[in-house]
Formats: sequence, C-alpha cells, structure tokens
Amino acid sequence: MTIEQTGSQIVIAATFFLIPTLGEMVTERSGILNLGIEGMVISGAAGSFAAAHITGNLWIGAFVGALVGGLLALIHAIVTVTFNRNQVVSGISLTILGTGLSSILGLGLIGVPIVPFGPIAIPGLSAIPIIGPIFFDKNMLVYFSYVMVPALWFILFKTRYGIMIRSVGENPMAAYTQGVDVVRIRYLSVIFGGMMAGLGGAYLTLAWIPMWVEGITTARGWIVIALVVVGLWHPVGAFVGSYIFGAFDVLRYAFQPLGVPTAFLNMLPSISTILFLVIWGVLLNLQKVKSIVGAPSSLCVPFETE
Amino acid sequence: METALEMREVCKTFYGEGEVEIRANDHVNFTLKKGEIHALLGENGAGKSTLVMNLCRRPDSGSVIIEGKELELKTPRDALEHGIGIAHQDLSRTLIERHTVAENVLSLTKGFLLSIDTVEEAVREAVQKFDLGDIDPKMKVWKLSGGEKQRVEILKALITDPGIIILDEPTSMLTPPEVDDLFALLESLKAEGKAIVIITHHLEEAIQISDRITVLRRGQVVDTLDEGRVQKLKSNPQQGVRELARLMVGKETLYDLKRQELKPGQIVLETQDLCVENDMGIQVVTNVNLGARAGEILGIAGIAGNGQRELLESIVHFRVARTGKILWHSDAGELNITNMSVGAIRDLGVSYIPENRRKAMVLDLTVRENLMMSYYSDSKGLLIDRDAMIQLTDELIEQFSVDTPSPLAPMRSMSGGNKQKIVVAREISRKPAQGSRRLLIAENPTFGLDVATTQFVREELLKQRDSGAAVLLVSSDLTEILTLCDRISVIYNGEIIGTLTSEEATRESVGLMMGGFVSDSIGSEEGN
Amino acid sequence: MNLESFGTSLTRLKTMVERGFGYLKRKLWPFEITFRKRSSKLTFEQSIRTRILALLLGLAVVAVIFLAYGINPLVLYLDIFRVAFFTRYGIIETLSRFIPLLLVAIGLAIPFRAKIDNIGAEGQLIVGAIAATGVAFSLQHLPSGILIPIMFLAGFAAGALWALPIAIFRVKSQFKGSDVVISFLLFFPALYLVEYLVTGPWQDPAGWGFPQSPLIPESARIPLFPTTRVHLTIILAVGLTLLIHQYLVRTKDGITETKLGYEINVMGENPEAGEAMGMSFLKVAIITVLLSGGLAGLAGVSEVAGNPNLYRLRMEISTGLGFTGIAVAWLGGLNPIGVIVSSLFFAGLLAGGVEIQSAGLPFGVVNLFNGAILFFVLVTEFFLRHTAEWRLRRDN
Repeated sequence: MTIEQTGSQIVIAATFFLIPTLGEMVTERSGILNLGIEGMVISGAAGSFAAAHITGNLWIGAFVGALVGGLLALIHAIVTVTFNRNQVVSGISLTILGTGLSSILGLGLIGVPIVPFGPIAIPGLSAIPIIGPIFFDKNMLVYFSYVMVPALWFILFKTRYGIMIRSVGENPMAAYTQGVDVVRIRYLSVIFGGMMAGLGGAYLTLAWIPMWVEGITTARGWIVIALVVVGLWHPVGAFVGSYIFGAFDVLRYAFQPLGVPTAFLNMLPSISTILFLVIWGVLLNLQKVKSIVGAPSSLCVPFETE
Repeated sequence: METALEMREVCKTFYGEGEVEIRANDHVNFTLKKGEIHALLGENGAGKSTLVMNLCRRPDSGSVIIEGKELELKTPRDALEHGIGIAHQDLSRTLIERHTVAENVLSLTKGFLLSIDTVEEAVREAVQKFDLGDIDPKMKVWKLSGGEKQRVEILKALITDPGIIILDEPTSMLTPPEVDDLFALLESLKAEGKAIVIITHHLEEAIQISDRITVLRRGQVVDTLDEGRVQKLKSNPQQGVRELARLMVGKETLYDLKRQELKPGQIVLETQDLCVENDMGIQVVTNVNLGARAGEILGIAGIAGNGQRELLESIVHFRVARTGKILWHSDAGELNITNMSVGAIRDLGVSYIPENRRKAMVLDLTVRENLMMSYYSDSKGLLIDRDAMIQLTDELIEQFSVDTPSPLAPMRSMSGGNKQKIVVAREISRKPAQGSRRLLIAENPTFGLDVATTQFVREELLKQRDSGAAVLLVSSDLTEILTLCDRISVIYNGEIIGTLTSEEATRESVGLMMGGFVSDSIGSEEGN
Repeated sequence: MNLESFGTSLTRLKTMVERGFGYLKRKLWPFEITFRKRSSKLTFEQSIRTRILALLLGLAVVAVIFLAYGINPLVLYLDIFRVAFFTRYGIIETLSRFIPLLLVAIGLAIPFRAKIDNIGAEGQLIVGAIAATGVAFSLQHLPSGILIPIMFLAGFAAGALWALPIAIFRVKSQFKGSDVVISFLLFFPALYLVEYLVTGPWQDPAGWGFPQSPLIPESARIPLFPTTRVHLTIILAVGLTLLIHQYLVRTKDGITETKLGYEINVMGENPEAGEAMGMSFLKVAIITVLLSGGLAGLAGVSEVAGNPNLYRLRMEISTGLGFTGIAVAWLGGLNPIGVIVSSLFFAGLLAGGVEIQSAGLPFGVVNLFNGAILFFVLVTEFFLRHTAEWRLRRDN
C-alpha cells in the first residue's frame, strides 16, 4: 500500500470517530455525560441508510441520521436534565434502546446496495503531493468534519454561547444566578451531541461502508467516549485523538503479514483505548495538572435550583 | 424617600422529607427605599437568604413590587432585567474556579460573539470605579484568596449597575480593612440613590452600616427598626448589640455556659511542621505546630478559607499531609499517625464532627444506621452483632434525647438540630483505645443550628473537656471561640500567627489577628 | 461584512426564531410544571407499583413502534407470553434463559447498589465460559463430582479477574464514566479471545472448519432434570441469589446481616461519609466487582456446561445476556427477590422472542424492550420522589 492509500484510509476511519467525538465533547462541556453514543450512532446509521434508500437522496439520508440521533439524545436530555436522573444508567439505556431501534430501522435493508457519497477533489489543494490526495480528495462529510473543528473551537471559546456552555458545565449555579438558562443550554448541547452522533452513523453507512448489517459499528461508539477524555475536552484534542485512533484502526492490518492472528488485531482498538485511559488517568491525576485541564467540574452532577 | 422594592405577605415553604414543612418565609413584609442601606438580620436559617431569593424565583404566595409595579420574577435573569444585583453567600456555588475573573462575569456578555477583551476592560474599569482593590480580570479564580473571591462576587453584583443591590453575607471572608473599604463603597453607592440590602449575622456591622434594620426569626419578621431607632443603637453600640441579639434569638441565654477550672493534662495530639495542599494543589497549610492537651479546648480561630479545613482533614487522614508529622501520645508512648488510615486513626480515639454535614451522615439511611457507623466494625468477623447495635443505638437516642419517632426513621426526616445531635452523640460516645485519651475535633459544630441545639453542642464540648478529653475546635464564630476555648490559636493564610490564652484573648485582639494583623502591640493597645 | 455585523445579524435571527418558538409554546403548551421533592424512601408497595408501571409504559412505547411497522402489538405480546409460559417448549426455554440471566443480573445488582456501574458482564460471562472449557478439556479424566465444581470455581475466578479493573477505575479515576467505558471495552478482548481459540488452538478437528471447540467431555456436563433440558445450575443460581439476599441486602431492625452489606448501603448513598468514618470505598468496590464478575463468569460456565444446545465453546456464547442483565437488575429494583421475578420476565421475553422473528422482525428488537423499560424505571422513580404541580402560564 502506498502512503497515499494508507493515509486516505486513516482519514476515512478517523472521520467516523471525529464527528461523534466533537458532539460528545460539547455535551460533556455542558456537564452532561451521554454514554449512549453507541446507540445514537448505530440508529443514525440505520435511519440514514433507510432514508437514503427510500428517497434516493444521500443528503436527506444524512439529515435523517442526524435527526434520529438528535431525537434519541432528546430522551437522554429529558431524563437527565428535566428529571435529574442518573446519567450513567440513562446513557446505558440509550445504548440498548438505540441498538434495538437500529434493528427495526434497518429492517429489510440487509444486502441492499447504495451509491455512497463520492469524493470531491478540492481544486488546488488536492494537487499538493501526498497531502492533497490524503486530505483533500474526500467526500463532503469529511470536509464537514474538518470545518467543525475550528468552528467548534470558535463557538466554545469566542462566542457567548460557548462561554455559557462551559460555565454551565463547570458550575451551573454560577451561570444560573447570572441569568443563564441552564436547562436550555444543556438541552441544546445534548441534542447537538446526539445529532453529531447520528451524523457519524450516517457517515458510516452513506460514505464509508455503503451497506447495512446489524452491529455495523462494531461498538466504535464506546471509543468515542474515551476519545473525549483523550482529547481533553477540546476540539483540537478531539481531532488529534480521532486521527490517532483512526490510524490504529487502519494500521493494525499491517501486522497481518507478520502472522499475528486477526483476532488479536481486532482487540487493538479497545485495548489501546484502555491503555490511553490508564495513562491519562495517571497523568491528569497530578495536582498541578488538575487545576488547568480535566473533566468539566460539574460533569455528571445533577443541577437543582433549590 | 421613594420605595424601590416592596414585598408583601411573602410566603415560601420548603418541603423536607417525611412531610416536614419548613416555613422559610411566613407572611413577610419588607420595604426597601432608594438611598438607604437596609440590614437583614437573623440567625442562620432565619429566612434571610430565602427572602431575597424570592426576587429570582416565585414565592409560594405574596407579591413583589418593584418601582410600584407588581412583577413576577421567575429566574435570576428576570431579576437582572429589573435592575437587581445579588452577591451570593456561598462562593463555591457562584464562582467558576477554572475560569478567569472576566469569564466569570457572564451578565456582561451580549450578542453572539464574545469579546473577552471588552469584558476584561469593563471589569478593570469597574474595579477602579468601585475601588475594589487589586483584581486582575485575566486571573483564574482558583488562584485568588478568599477575600479576593468575595470581592469578585460583589463586583459581579455591581457591574450591571443595578438600582437594587443585595449583598448576602459580603464580609464573611474579608479582613477588617477590606470590610471598611466595602462599607465606604456602600456609603457612596447609597449617596447615588441606590437601594442596598445587606444580609448579615454580625450585629456590630449591621449597626455600623445600616439605616434601617429588619430582624427575622424562624421565617417571620420580628421587628423593623426605623432610622430613629437605628440612630439610637449607633450612639451606644454595645447596648445596641445586646438589643439586636435579643430580637434575633428571642431569649438571652445564649452566652451562658458553666466552665470548670482548667486542669490541662498531657499532650494528646501534636503536629510538627505540618504542610498540606488543597484540592487544586496549592499549599494552604504551612508549618503548623499544634499540641492538643487533655482536659483543654484548643480553639483554632480564623476567617473561613484560611486552611482550617485542610489542617483538620490531614489530621484525620482524609487528606494527605505533604510534609511534617502528626504524632499521637498515649500511655503506650508516642505514635506517628501521619500516614495511618482513617479507620486506624479513629480507632485510637479521634472523633471528628465535620463542618460539611454531608460528610457526617447518610441522609437516605435510617437514624440507627447513621448512629452505628462508628460502631458496626467492632463486631467480630464478617457479621454485625445486631443485638449490640440495637441496644447501643437505642441508648444513644435515649441519652442524647434525640427526637425521633423511631430509630428506623430516615435521617432525612430529622430536623437540622436533631441531625447534628445524632452526629455528636455518635462521635463523642466512642471509647478511645486502651491507654489513649479521646481527641474530639469539631469544625464549626454549631453552624446553622437553632439556639437550643447550639447550647447542647457547646455543653457537650465542655463536658468532654471536663472529662479529660482533648478538644480541637475550629470555628469562624468568635463568640463560640471566646466562650469555649482555653487557648486560641489564630490561623491566617495557612499559618498559625499566634496563640493566646483565654485570659489574654479579647474580641478585638483575636478579630485583628484573624485579619492577619500580628503585632507585639496588641497587648499594649488594649491597655490604652 | 465584518465579524461584528455578522454577529449582530445572527443575534437578530436568533431573536426572531426565539420569538416564533415562544409564540408557539404559549399557544400549544400553556402550562408551567414545577417539581417538588417529597419523601425519599419508597415503601415496598410503591416500588413494586413503580416497576409494574415502568414495565407497562415500556411495553406501550414499543407497541407504538410495532404499530408503525404494521404489526399488531397486542397479538404479538400475547403470543410471546403464551409461548414463553404456557407451552412445554417455551417453559423449558424460559428456564434455560432464566439461569444465566439470573446469575448475571444478581451479580450486577450488587455493585449497582454501591453505585458502581459494571456494564461489561458480557465479557465476564465469556471469560468464564473460556475458563470452564479449558478446565473441562485439561482435567477431563476427573470424575464429574470434582470436575464440575472446579469448572465453576475457574469460571468464577476468570470472570472476577476480568471485572477487577472496573473497581480500580471507579475509585481512582478522575473522569466520570471512564470506569463504565472500560467495563464495556473489556468485552472485546474477551470476544476476540474466543474467536482466536475456536478458530485456532481449540478448534474442533472434526468440525469441518466451523469456528467451535469440540464437545466437552460427558463428565464435564452439568446433569439435567429428568426428561427436561433444564440443568441443575438453576438450584445454584436461585440458592446464591437467596444467600445474597440474606447476607447483603435484607435488613432486620434496620441492620443488615454482614458488615459488607452495611458498607455497600453506606457507600451507595454517600461514599464521602463512609470514607470519613474509616470505610474504604476501594475495598467495597473491589469486593462487589469481584462478586459481580464472578457471578457473570458462573453464567458463562452454565452456558458451556449446562446448555444442551452448546456443550462447547462458540462465538455464539455471547448473546447479549450481559446487557439484558442491566435492565433486569434495575427492573428488579436491585433487590435479589425482585431480580428473580424480573429475570423470569425477561427470560420469557427472550424465549418468546421467536414470535418476534416469526412476525418478521429481527431479534435485536428485543433490545427495544430493555432500553425502553430501563428508561421508564428511571423516570417513574422520579415521580415517586417528586410531585408535579401544573398551572396555567401567567405572562408578565
């Protein structure tokens, strides 16, 4: 395989991590942990594939994917924000529910072919040797993910909404007493996270692997939650983390010729995630580091006004 | 003078567990005029904060009238829009530690884009204008001292240029000179025609600064003192304090405690050059050397946030000491307990009444389960000796006259006073290890309690002392420190800056030291 | 156009949208709801009623989805119920699902009570099955009476070991949820380990290349009840559940039998207070998680050595019981007796699930029930602890 091919595959695999990771990052920045990513991604994948298959329009498919993800996230928001219930358990239920939903949304679609999003070369940029074909000869959803990284950075750190989201995640009472509508900010953030997860699912079935089988995500949604930690709740960090894991996803096959059984190679993503969490856990536990970076202080803490 | 704000027949009830009703505000009438400073006085839990919070959430009944118009203010945003600025009491709930000062001032942000430079500039200007000392808007809040944080909170209330300013306990973390500056600022704001409410339980401060005073007790207005009466109090502050205290408390038995003569024994616990860090990794306790003696109450006085909590937590090993030693003295000799587990330290005879009541009890378990927390592990093997626990808990309830329908009632359904009684009963009844003496560590043990329970707790502390236990009392309440302690160590900025005996200590000398003023002249000043 | 004016126009757009929504909201939803806390402990009947309500609401929501796909949910539900509990095949199948499900669910309920989330029971079940298979083949000369207990011990140990990292992460990690993520991710190494074993060293040489191990020796098979295919592990599972109830959960005069049970209760409600009293959260976490993983491991053993459809190691050993167990444990109110009842219900659902397939739906649809019921358990509990107060919106 040439460098261009390998690089291309890494970008393609990484985008699937990146889109939901950016969404979950915003959700967690607002203080809500949504462990239901896997459920939203897989429902989004099934829903978007079904919609694209029925309407014949990929964009409608992508929209439906985001919609399905957003609606599922809405359930999580209602349960955890309005009713202040346990975020972990709610997230787990969301995963299970989403998996079930994907089965029924994907009904009759197994083995159905579809024409995926095609690559669109960006004039000029795609002509750059090596980098051009790797990064700038991709489909629209990949470009969307590129744009979202600086866009989210801008929103989080340079706009009023951004500071409200961050404040709500750090200390919701402080934000509330200054007139911020905590409930609304959290709802919006959770739903945004869900839409991004759904879109990630759409990317999977409409751009990367143009087909539907049950369990098509092979539980990559769980890695997303780890990626938010790895990326230190920052869009750029999420980008770097996603590309590292995208590289793991692709490069593991490089070991195949060495005689390592595929079963062990398949373990790589989950094991490397676990290792990352261990290393990060030790590093971020240091006192000096804790006051600068770390999980939003009110992550998983219910907010009550009285 | 024009009326800025009026509250009529305001009621707010909180529903505790087990159908308990807490009438935090019971048909309260309150008026605030423009160009006045109005003090709201009352004990903890009298309903002061509840009353002003009715300006940003709907009361159960009654009306809120601002500038002659009846309004329904449902959220803090509504309050902001109607020109009300509130500085809250609990800074951990209103400041975002990881953000900068400017990022903390959310009410200034308008529009879609956030220009942090503009906010920083506005903060800088406001700091100048209100003369709030040295606050760098780019500074992260966690790096600030307690007093600076409090000033940031006050700044947040003032920066929107509100017509009605409400300051909830604005002086609890300020040093005396900072308090003077704040009061000067309030005077100038008053001159501009602002209406100001100051909530406090410091009687002297209320008399010093306010034009009118409203006293609350158990959710009801006891009395509103008009300008004339307040003037009269100002002319004789000592008499005034006594009068206000009577209004606040209802009876004058508060300071009446019997003490036996001091019979100090051997040192029970000793710290040597102890240094401790807080959660953010900043050293907040520096080279502390203390010795708690049997039969003596050693007070640690200080304004909240000067390292008291971290010091105590390191002694019970809830927090790791960075350097230094903690030694335990018993008949068996000296024992280094610096790195022993919480359980082992407690087994030696250390009891701890934490300020944070959450750490002392489990609300969702029963009274019995809460009482047996210190004793269940005495049973041999894996099983709990049920009969012994039943007997023990029933005895404790009886002995300390805990008012509960049944030992199986949930802790949550108890009143605040009964909860603390349960904690105190559990902590002081445990037998110390063979040959050891008891060390009782109490951290603001009467904070927020009603008068009767406060009295009960203080009496129990004295009983412990008289029975030969060492008592380490941390309190930010000067009255408590002065009435109970045999020796008083003052902590400021993590260091013990002086230790006084009960004979040497006066309200003034300890108060000054709490503000960081150590001078050899304290004694001579008193002589003047 | 500069950024500033772009920002202003965005704001203007936002205000317009907000006004529109505000108008719609006032017209369509003229109420305000406020919630108030009320008594905290649920009485026994209340909690039973809540669970039943949650169950019914969950079934109702799924029914709506079925309707959308043109399936009559009532007929389907009745069919599932009839097949699962009123046919000979169904009852046996229900009981054979009941055994591993109960073991998994009771195992999960223990750490859940201490607010430790183990969602990796599936992985722990798999390693339990691997360990049992390994023991069965390497010690096959031993008599049944010795071999089978050793298999159970090995399965318990393997499952427990697999779960151990969860405890360490739960207590030591700074990130909420990383323990949950890890507990889930440990499922994959377990799954691929089975894949490796049944396609590599342990593959059945007489199996025409199927990814499966040979049948385990007769001596390693758990005896069946006469004339049925229900194996004796059911006694073990129910027995262990009752033991857990007796020693960890049941209170008499407000006191549990064991110190551990008491510590779990304290830690589950307020770990800070527990630690201040000298309890160790790490100790409680490790013990509960080891028990949890071990019980899931036992479920794996019971599948390999008890399920007559298997009697061997296959990748299909993993059927999602570890995840269904989560819903079972919560629906059972984390109480062993409740868990027995809810295990029976879900086992019936799984057994009657053939009806779902014959209605033309994929089997994965069963997850809809799990998820929806779990959500409603969460929400109905809220309404027991709070009262809702409706009133017409009054606008200033």
